[in-house]
Amino acid sequence: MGKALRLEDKVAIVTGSGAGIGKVIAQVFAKEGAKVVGASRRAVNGQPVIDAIVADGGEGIFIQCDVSVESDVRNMIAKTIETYGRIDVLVNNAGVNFMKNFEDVEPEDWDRVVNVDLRGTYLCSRYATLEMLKMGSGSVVNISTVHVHACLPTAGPYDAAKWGIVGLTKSLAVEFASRNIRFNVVSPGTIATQILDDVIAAAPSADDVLNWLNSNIPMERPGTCEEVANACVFLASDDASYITGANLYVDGGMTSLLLSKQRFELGALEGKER
Amino acid sequence: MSCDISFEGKVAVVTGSAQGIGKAIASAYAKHGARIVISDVQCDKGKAVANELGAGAFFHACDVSKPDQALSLVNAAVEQFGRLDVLVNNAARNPAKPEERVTVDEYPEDIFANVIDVDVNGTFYCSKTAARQMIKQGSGSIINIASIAGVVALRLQIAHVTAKAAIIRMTEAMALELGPRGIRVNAISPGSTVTEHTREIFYGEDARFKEFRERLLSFVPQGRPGEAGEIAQAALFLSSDLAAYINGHNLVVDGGWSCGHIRDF
Repeated sequence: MGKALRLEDKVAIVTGSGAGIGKVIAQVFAKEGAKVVGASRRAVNGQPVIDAIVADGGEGIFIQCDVSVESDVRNMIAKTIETYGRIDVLVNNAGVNFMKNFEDVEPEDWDRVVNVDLRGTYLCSRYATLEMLKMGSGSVVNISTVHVHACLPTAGPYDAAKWGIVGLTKSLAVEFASRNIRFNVVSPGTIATQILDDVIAAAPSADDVLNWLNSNIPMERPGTCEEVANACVFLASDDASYITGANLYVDGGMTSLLLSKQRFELGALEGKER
Repeated sequence: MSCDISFEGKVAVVTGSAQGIGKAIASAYAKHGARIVISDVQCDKGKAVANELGAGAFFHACDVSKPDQALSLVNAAVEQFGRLDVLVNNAARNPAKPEERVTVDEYPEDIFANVIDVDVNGTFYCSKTAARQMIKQGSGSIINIASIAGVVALRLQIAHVTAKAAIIRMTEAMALELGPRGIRVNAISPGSTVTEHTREIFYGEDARFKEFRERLLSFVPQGRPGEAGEIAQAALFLSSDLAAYINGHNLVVDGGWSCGHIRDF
């Protein structure tokens, strides 16, 4: 069976495409036949990703864009239309996070995270949707996190913004369903990225951190960026034509788990009635 | 555009595949190269589906609410094809015959028990026996067909709602236990879907409750029921390598029904 491309000829904007998950989403989308508009704050990261896609026979352009800045977003949409004439898919992947005790979260910290993660998703969605309405179709995929299932300490602003993304997604799914624009969420668990490498490198023992992380994941390993990108491909494609307002967890089973695997023996209690 | 995922060399068992969503899922696997076991309590219809799908498919009669029959189904697949890669637990009791649309204070005990027997116990029996084979192989994927009635409660379907909610949580429990052994377990929750059954009651030309169709669809943001093929695409995706890190998930395929509605006030 010949391989049919699942995003053939679709024009897809991927924000935060300069590194990590966003970079791989851009690469996988290009392999699936999409014309990729890669957007990131720093050209030094974003431009080479698109250059490599083009060198590899794919199609795409890079646009410098801070998604929290309205004029940047409007420019990104305008350049996309100027180049390709349409927008079929938007992946709102750009995001920032930090870990800080809530007592130390200053208003400017809050604003930074909420402006990029939530306001950025709003701005990109708004201006992309205006173009999708003209064509009468579109698919938006918003990247959230397993934190929208259960939170971690020291990530209050991030978790608030990411929960906001889910609410926005469901609301827009309802509002635009009759106009043939679908909105869905992909919520990754622990994914092997530079950020994870940094966390591991900062710990006294890499093995201890990995063992602890894996003990909280039924599949006992972090996911890959490709695995997140494949979920985005599915939701962006026409294969998901009846899926809107959904939140797809790509987490190896992490959110099904209440407690990590037991580290102690319960042999003494075996077979005893209580 | 259709999904290009290949299931060449893979073996799938789909319960309740004589008609409706089960038949659509079985056909999709066959189309993408899988060898397939059709199973149902309706033998004539089931055999016809297997014939339609050709040499890579056979029918095995199975009432999933009987543990010995669930065992025999999995054994038949392994004897014939040598392995089992995908189990789709789709068999379910007709969720709401018109005469059963009553509130909890009127709901018949025997029907409640029967729904739990087929939907919940059947999913457990088939999964248990399939898991044993998949553990031997070190790989496999189980898909449980739940419903948005398991995500949000609906009136007048107490047994169906209870059963489907149980299936979603069972999916997570199995994902925890089988994930470390290379087996992924996920659920799909369809919204209202066009099948032989719903054509009869809602969507067909001379459907019995045609007058409720518009009202039902007014709750669905996309304004239409899903096609059985759209549920099949979700099953293909979840059981393929594209979903290699998706485990314990309940994928809602409902046109937006469960995230809000667009009714005019």
